[in-house]
Amino acid sequence: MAFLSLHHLKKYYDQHRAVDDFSLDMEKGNIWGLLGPNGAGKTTLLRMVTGIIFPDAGEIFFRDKPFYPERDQAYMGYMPEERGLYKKMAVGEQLIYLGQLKGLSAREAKNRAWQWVQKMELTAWWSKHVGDLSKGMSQKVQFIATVLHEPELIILDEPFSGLDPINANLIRDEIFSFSKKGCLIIFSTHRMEQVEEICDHIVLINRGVKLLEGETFKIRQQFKQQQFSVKTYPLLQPDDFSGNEFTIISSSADRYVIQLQENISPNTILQKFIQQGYQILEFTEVLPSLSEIFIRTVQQQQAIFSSVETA
Amino acid sequence: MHNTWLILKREYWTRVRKKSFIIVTLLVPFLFMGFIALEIYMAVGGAPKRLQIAVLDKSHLFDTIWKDDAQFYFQVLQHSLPDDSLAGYAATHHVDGLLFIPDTLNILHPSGVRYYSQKKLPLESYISLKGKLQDALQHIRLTQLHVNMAMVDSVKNAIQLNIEQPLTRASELQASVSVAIAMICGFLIYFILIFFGVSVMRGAMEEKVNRIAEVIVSSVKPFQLMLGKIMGIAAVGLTQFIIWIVLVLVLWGALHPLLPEMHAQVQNMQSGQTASSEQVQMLQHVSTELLRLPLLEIVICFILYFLGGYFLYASLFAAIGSVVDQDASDAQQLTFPITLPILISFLIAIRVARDPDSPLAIFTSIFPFSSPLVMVARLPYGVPWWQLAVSLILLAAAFLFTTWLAAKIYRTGILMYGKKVTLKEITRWAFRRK
Repeated sequence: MAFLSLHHLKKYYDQHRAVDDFSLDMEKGNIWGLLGPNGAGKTTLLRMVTGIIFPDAGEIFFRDKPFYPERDQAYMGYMPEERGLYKKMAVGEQLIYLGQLKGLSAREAKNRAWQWVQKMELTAWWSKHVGDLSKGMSQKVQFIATVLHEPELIILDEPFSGLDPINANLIRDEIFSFSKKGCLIIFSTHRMEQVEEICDHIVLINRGVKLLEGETFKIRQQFKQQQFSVKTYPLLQPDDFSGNEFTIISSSADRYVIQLQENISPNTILQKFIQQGYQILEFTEVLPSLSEIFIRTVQQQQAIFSSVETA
Repeated sequence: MHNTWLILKREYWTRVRKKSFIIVTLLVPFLFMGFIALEIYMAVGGAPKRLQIAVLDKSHLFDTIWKDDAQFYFQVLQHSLPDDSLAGYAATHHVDGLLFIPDTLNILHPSGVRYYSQKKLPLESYISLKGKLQDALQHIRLTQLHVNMAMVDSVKNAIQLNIEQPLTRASELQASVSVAIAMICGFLIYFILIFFGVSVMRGAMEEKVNRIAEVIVSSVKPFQLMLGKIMGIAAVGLTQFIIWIVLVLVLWGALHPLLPEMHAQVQNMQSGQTASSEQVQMLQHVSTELLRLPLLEIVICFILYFLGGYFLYASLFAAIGSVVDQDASDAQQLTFPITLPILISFLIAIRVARDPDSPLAIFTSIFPFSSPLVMVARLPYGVPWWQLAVSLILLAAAFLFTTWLAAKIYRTGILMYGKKVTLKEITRWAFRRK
C-alpha cells in the first residue's frame, strides 16, 4: 500500500461538492504538486488529509494504517495558505510551543528550534514578537514550525508567497533535502513555474474532481503536440516551404517554434531543412508548459460541465 | 489530555505575564482596602470635634446655658468688645469661633445673633447651637407667659416613646449585612461571567483572525483547543482571586492593629454617646455579624458556582468568538443572546438578595442558566441542602451540554473565513449529527 493513500474521498457542503470521489496514492520521497484553480477543493482536500476536517465518505490510509488523526498528526507538518502565528508571542517561545503540540519534549523542541533559527538566519529575532517581523521572516518562522518535528509528510500551501528570491531558494533547498531524506511532500500552488521546477508528480483538481495525475515529465509528454524549436543557419525562410507539413507557432530573432502536422515525423522535416541547404544549429522538442496543460484541461472540463448543465 | 494541558499553560502564562493583569491584580486590593480605611477614617476622624467658642452675650438672657458638653467648650467673655474686632477675635484668641448676642435682643423676633469664625461651622454643631438658643428662648417665653414649667416637662415625658432599640438595631444590621454580602456575591459572579467570558471570546477571535487556529488544529482537536483556552482563562481568574484574597488579608492584618487605637482615640476625645463612637461600634457589630454567617459554605459554593457558571457560559462565548470574523459589531450582535440571560439573572439576583425565599428565587436559583448568579445571592440566608444539590447537579449537566454544543460550532466556525454567519446557520451547526 502507498505511504499516503486516499480512497474515494467526498466532502459536500450544502449543495456544493468541495471534493468529489477523489482517490490518489502517494509514495515517500516524492514531491507532489497539487494544482487547481481557486475554489477547486484543494484546501478542503488538504484539511481532510491533515485531519482538520473529516470526509463525508471515503478513507485515508497513512503509513499503512487507516488514518487516525490523534496518532498520525505528529507525523505530519502542515503549512496552511493563510499563515498563522501568535503575533504577541516571541519567535522562540512560539516554535517551542508548536513543537510541543506535535509531541516533542520541551527540551527537544528548544534545541531543534534553535538549530533551525540559526539555519534560517533568525537568531537575532529569537525573543522578538512575531508581530514585529517582516512578512518574509514570519514566513520562515512558519516554515520552521511546520518541519520542526521532522514530519514524514509535509504539506505546504503556497510556501513561497511573500518571499524574496534568496529566501525562496533557502526554503526550496530545504524542501529538496526533506524529499531526499524520504519525506512525502505535497505542495499546493498556483505558480506553475515553481511546480515545473520542484514537483516530480502533479495532480490537477477542479470542482472537487481529479482531472490529471502522474509524473510531471510523463504528463508533459502526454500533452505534447509535435512542437519543435528550430535554429538554423542561415535563418529559416518560411517561404521556402510550400505545403502544409508544419505551421509556425512563434518566432524570435534567431529561431522558430513550429508545429508539425500529425502524420509528419521530426526526421522528415529535418531532412527537408537539410536538403534546402540549411545548417541545423538546434532542433529541440518543445513540451507544453504545465500552465498550458492546466488551462487546457480545466477549460475542457468547464466545457463538459457547461454542456451538461445547459442540456 | 497532554495537548489540552499545553494549551492551558500557554493561555495561562501569556495572560498572567501581561502588564494589565499584574496592574489590576495588585491594584484592586489596595483600592478595596483604601476604601475601607477611608470609611473607618470617616467614622473616627471625620466626626466633628469639640469646638471652643467664645461667647459675648450682651443681652444676658442666656447666662445659664453655657455649660460645656461633648460638642462645645464655652468661654464666656465678661467685658465687651469693640464692634470692629468681633470678626477677627476667633483667629487672635485661639478659639474656633465667637458667638455674639446683641443687648437688644427681641424675644419675639430674635435677630442679630451672629457667629464669627474663620472656619466653617459643621452642620451638626450649627444645629445643636441653634437648638440651645431656641430652647432657652422658648423657656423664657413660657416663663413670661406664666406657664408652669414642671407641667410642660411632664407633658413632654408622657409622650416619650419607648423603643426597644438594641434588638431592632441588631436584626436590622444582620439583614443589611446579608443583603450586602448577597449583592457583592451576585455582582462578582456577574462581573466574572461577562469579563472572563469576553476574554474567552476575544481569544478565540484572535486565533481565528491570525489564522493560527488552522495550524493548531492540525496538531490538536478543536475541542482540546477550546477547552484548553477556557480552562487557562479560568486558571487566570482563580489566580487573580487568590492573590486578591491573600493581599486583602495581609493588608487587613496590617490595618487591624490600628483599629483599637482609633477607637481609644475616639473614646478619649469624647465622653458619652456620640455619633462617632456609635459608628465605630457599628463597625464592630458588622464584623461580628459577618462572622455569624456561614462563611465557609459561602466561599465554597461561590467557587463552585463561579466555575460552573463560567464553564457554562465561556464555551458559548468561545463559540461566538469562533464564528465572527474581525468585525467587532458582529460579535456584539451575536453575544447578545448570551449576555441577556446573564443580565436578567443579575437583576433577579438583586431582588433575591432582599427576598431570598420567593418562588422566583427558588426557581431561578435551581435553573442552571441563572443559578450561578441567583444562588450565590441566597447563600447568606442559608439554603436547604437539597436545593443546593439539585442546582449544582443541573448546572454541571448544563455546562456539559453547552460545551458539547459549542464545540461543534467552534469546530466549524474557526476554519470559516470571510463569510458572515447568521444565527440560523450557527444553530444548524450546533444541532447537526456529525
